[in-house]
Amino acid sequence: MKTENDILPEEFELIENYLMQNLNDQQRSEFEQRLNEDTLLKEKVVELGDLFNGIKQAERFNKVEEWHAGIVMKNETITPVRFINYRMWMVAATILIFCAGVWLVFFSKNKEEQLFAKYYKPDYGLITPMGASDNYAFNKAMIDYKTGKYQLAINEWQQQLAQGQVGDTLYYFIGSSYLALRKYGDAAINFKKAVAIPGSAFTGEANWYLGLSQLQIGHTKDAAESIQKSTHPKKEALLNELRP
Amino acid sequence: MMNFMQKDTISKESNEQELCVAIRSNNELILSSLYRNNYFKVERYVIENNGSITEAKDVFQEAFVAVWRNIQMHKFSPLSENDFTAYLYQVSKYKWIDTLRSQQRKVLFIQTDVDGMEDVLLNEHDNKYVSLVRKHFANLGQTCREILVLFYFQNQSLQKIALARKWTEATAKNNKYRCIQQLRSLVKTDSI
Repeated sequence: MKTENDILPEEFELIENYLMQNLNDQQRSEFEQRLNEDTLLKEKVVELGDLFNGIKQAERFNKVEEWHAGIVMKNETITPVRFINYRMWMVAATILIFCAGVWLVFFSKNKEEQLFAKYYKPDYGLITPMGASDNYAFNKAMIDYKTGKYQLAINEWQQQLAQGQVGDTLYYFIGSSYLALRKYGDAAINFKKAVAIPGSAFTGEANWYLGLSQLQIGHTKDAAESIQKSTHPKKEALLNELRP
Repeated sequence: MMNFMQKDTISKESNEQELCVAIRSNNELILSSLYRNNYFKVERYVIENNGSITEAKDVFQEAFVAVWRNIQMHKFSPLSENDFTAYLYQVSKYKWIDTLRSQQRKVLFIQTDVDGMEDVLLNEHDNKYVSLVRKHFANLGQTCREILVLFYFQNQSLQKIALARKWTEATAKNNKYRCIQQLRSLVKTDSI
């Protein structure tokens, strides 16, 4: 049985188009006039607006929960200070000495990872204009890159390379995608190709990311050389940390 | 067709200009990086101010989503990552102080330099409906959740959604409508 709060499909579509800003000026104006006169319609618009916001927020919370699980898995969270008794202090001190030993043994490896975590910030990608474009395939892959679908972006851009399109932009973003996937060797290969192209506006940044990739595969000397060639504002700070 | 010659560099906007665009287009790489880079500072703040790790996580996630929402709704437009970080930290602090106050816990030692944050919380306290939607969204079937996320969160077209499931566009539209009705009904039942 139909009640006054039901939203029938046609009315739902109209409200949805209004909220998602898909109406043209005239349609919008007519709809807003109806809104001023119809309290029930206004209530439905508010309700659906909240419903759509709730869906977006629910999904965003799912995403942040996934990221947080990643942090916890890496055991990166700090431990709160709590009151402990003398015996617990002894146990804690023993564990601390043991950990310090382990830390010293593995320090060289951990230091590189720590430096990477400290200095790596992904490239934001390029602006991708919507609609028909002669760069459609490139832009589609750029959207994949920006939405975290790195393998899809790599596949598309490598297809473009296979078709004979060669350039610093392709190599730079294939490298950036591999780096985001933590495939450091593949990232380094592509950044090297990007920096080999003379006059590229990506040279400074490609050298920075090349250095970070080399750092992760243990090529510390090469990494320092690449970072030295980069234009990154934090290059001196990183080079200082790399010095023995 | 774009010609990738020796040098094909596309004019590159500065990071600062692109930050808003990246957040508004739900660039997961950037957002997750912002999350990781800012979490520990807030965790430390909450723990040093009478809180636990679990509370720090809840406060930070609430703050992060609130800041994301405000950027989506153009209520806040960070000019730089520092801008974003400062705002997120302020919102987190405000939320933690609010939590302590609501539980009548000690807040005397906390610096309350969080003026202008009231509207961030006000929107949420006033809008229990959105919270109920979030709660019941998890109770929908998997297909419904997927359709609604693809359409409303990822802004995918009905045509693309239909194609991926071998549906007609009319079927996709009808299924989306039915999923929305189902969610409305769950929320309505809970709020009575």
